[in-house]
Amino acid sequence: MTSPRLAGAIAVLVAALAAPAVARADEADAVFTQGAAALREGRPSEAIADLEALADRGVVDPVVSFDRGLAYAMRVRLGGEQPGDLGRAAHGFEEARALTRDDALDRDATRALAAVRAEVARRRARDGDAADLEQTASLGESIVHLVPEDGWAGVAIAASLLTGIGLFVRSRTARRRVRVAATVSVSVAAPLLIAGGTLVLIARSERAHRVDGVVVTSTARPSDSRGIALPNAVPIPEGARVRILGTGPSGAWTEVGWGGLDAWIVSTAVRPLARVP
Amino acid sequence: MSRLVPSLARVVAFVAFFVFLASAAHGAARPELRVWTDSDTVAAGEPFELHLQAMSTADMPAEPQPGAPASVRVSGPSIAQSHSFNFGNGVAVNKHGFTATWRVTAPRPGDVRLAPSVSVGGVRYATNGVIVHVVPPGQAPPRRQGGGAPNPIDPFHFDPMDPWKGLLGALGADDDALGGVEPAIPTDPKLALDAPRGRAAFLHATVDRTQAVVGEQVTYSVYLYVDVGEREPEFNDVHEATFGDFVKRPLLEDDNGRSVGNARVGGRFWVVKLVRRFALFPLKTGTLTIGPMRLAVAGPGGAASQRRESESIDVRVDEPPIDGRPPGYAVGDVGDFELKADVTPREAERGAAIAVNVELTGTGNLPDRIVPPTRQGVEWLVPEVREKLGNAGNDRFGGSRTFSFVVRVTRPGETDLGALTIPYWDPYARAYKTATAPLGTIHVSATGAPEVDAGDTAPLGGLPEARTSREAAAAGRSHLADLWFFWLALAAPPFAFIAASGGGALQRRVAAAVRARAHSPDALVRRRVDEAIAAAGGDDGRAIDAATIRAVEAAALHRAAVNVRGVPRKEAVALLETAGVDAKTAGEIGAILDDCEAARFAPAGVEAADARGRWDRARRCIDALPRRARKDAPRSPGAEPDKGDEA
Repeated sequence: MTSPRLAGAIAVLVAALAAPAVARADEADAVFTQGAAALREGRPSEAIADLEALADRGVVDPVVSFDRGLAYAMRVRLGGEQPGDLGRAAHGFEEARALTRDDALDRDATRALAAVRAEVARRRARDGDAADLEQTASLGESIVHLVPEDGWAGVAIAASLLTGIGLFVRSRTARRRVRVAATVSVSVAAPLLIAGGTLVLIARSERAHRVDGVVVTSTARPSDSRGIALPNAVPIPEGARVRILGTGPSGAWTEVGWGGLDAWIVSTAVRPLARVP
Repeated sequence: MSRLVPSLARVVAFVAFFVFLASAAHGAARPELRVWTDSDTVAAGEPFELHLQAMSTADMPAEPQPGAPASVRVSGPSIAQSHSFNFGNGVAVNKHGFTATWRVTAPRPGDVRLAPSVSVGGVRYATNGVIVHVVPPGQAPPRRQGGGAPNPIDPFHFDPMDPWKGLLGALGADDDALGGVEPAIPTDPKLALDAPRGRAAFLHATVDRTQAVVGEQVTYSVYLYVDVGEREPEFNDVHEATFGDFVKRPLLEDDNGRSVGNARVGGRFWVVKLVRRFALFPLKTGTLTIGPMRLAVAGPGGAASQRRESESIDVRVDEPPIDGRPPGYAVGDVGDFELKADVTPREAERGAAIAVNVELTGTGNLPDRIVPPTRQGVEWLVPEVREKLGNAGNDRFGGSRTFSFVVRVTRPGETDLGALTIPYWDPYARAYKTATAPLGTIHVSATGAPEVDAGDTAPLGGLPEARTSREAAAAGRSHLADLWFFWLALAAPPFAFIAASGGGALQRRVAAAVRARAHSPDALVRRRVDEAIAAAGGDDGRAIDAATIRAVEAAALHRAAVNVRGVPRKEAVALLETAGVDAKTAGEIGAILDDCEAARFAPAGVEAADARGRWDRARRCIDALPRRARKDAPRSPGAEPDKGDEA
């Protein structure tokens, strides 16, 4: 007799617990639909309000990021530009690229990002500033990103197998040619195993801990930890992608890396890219 | 003559100017005088008090005169010195002075005019005086206790510029008049504190809330408490409080402060003056600290200054809730806002300027910019902003901010300008609200400036199309390095080889150790002893004796390093003794060996019981032999008794 009642109570409880989440999802969908409609109808400010509201609620979606970037870019295009719109557009496109698994969306975001950065570069060149928004990565960073993390994992696994087999063969055979071949295999595979394993670890650590951001003000002046502008340091341009290394105790300053430059900038000048939860 | 007139006019103007300057300087040095009596109607022959308060920013007032007619009797004065201060731009402006009190007695009924005066910087200044009605004895109304100015609202003579002066007079110079009775000073319980924060004077800071959201008004006040029993404190070296993480807006018209009442703290009376009040708007989340306000308090007569500072206050600041947050809400927009917009004209030529005046009113942290709705063909120019902000009543900061936009529409036809909206958080209703001002539509004629195709010149051409459907929830991608068996597989091949190689070597070493242990001298002796024990369990006397001999020989060889096999008895005993075996044991070993040999080869055979007896003796000897270290064991293969026995 109690089983149906208990099951009913559990069902009601589950429904009650799940209801807020469902409501939030529905609300997010409604806001997105509203924002997308505003974007289609050429009302970018309204679209920005809706799409930013989704970001405030923690919605991580490459399409939302992409449309948000488009809304900012459209506002610039329609002449209603507000300070930082280009940087926020670049942020939306960068975030969409980082989150999406859709190749078409990735291509569109890349194309739009290039257009935004070209506009920033054009303005900087017009003002006589350096037009470079991309900074070359360090050698170590380049090596780590030479192949994907799983690629390094495959290399390490293959090297491990080769090392093990070589060692066994070398210890078990008395034939000279085979021993030489096994020795050569081990000599090549063992360093490869160590290097591959290390790169996998670095790539994994970077994936887990690295936070990137985009400069969303017209310029960000590099400073030291006390907030004093670094002499001869090139200001980081709007729309530049930077590595976020940390935040000061007051939260007002953020340490960023841009190419070979490690410096502090005002926290409001950089907006972190959302990551897949 | 025509030239003379302008010259004369110039001279007159100069003279007038200098007269003005002189009078202005004179006015600046003029003391503030105030006169009152403790009653305006007294009985003839009844003494009453005449008070004169004189305050000056320049020289100290001196030589007070009662200005009484000769017909009245005057005694005194008693002097109570006073001091007041004002803050302005971090500078304390001091005023010095005193309150003089005379005791006056009018002998006859009638009106008596009293016009006291005082000297400042060698110049005497007189008051307009007061008139006291003297009535026959018994007809005067009852007088108020304690004396003082006849102000029903302010019985303690509070002066906004010198709030505690009256109290100083009441408790200091007027002690005689009070007759030693403590005055009933009205105090405000809201101003009471647990204990004074300093002697003579101190600062006390408060906020109306210690928890707020970003942009919500936090009202910060600093009060100055001055002990009415102290004389002439001087204030200088004022340092304002610090509000690094707040936007600060003043709520007082100036920094002079104002009296807010009296307090009883630590058993003493304090005059309390509000010296600062600000509306603070937090700029970020977290625990934000308001630094203390500081000043120096110097005692009278140039006594050493003492630092006084208000409390440092922490305010916990959060964001307004995410739930229900309207699109377009900017963190920090907190208050109660209202938007009004006026668009003129509604009809215009293409490219003509249209004025859009937007008035944002309300209280709280009014946004300093409004993002206009962007439309194709509508260009909004940067607005001119005017504001009228301040204390909007009840210490709430607010007012109005007006944005005057100029809009140009480049597309002919009906154009909907959209609406201006400002979502905000109402902290009192604890809810989000939205101030909206619809702008309506305007009609733009095709005349005027030619239409410009913005598509050719506008930046960011060729943007991709917007997406209308969301991507499936992006789940975290799995990576090989996140799997534990990846690391196991990575380590397995080399570690398997190492384990296999190491295992083989270990096995060989263990086997060798076992073998070595099996052939050790102790093991041999134990084996021989075990054989003898086994033989002793049987009935074969010869076998017992033979086993006894082998055990003894093995023990002698491996424990005393003496090979007694085939060696004559005496020589064997000597060798054993030489090897360190005590003489008794050595002799017994020799005897046992002889006895066993003799019994083995006796024609009558060997009794098993006798043989067991010899074995028992032999066993005691074996136990008596010292155990030797393994390295002392004989190395010569020829010394191995096993082989001899087996042979």
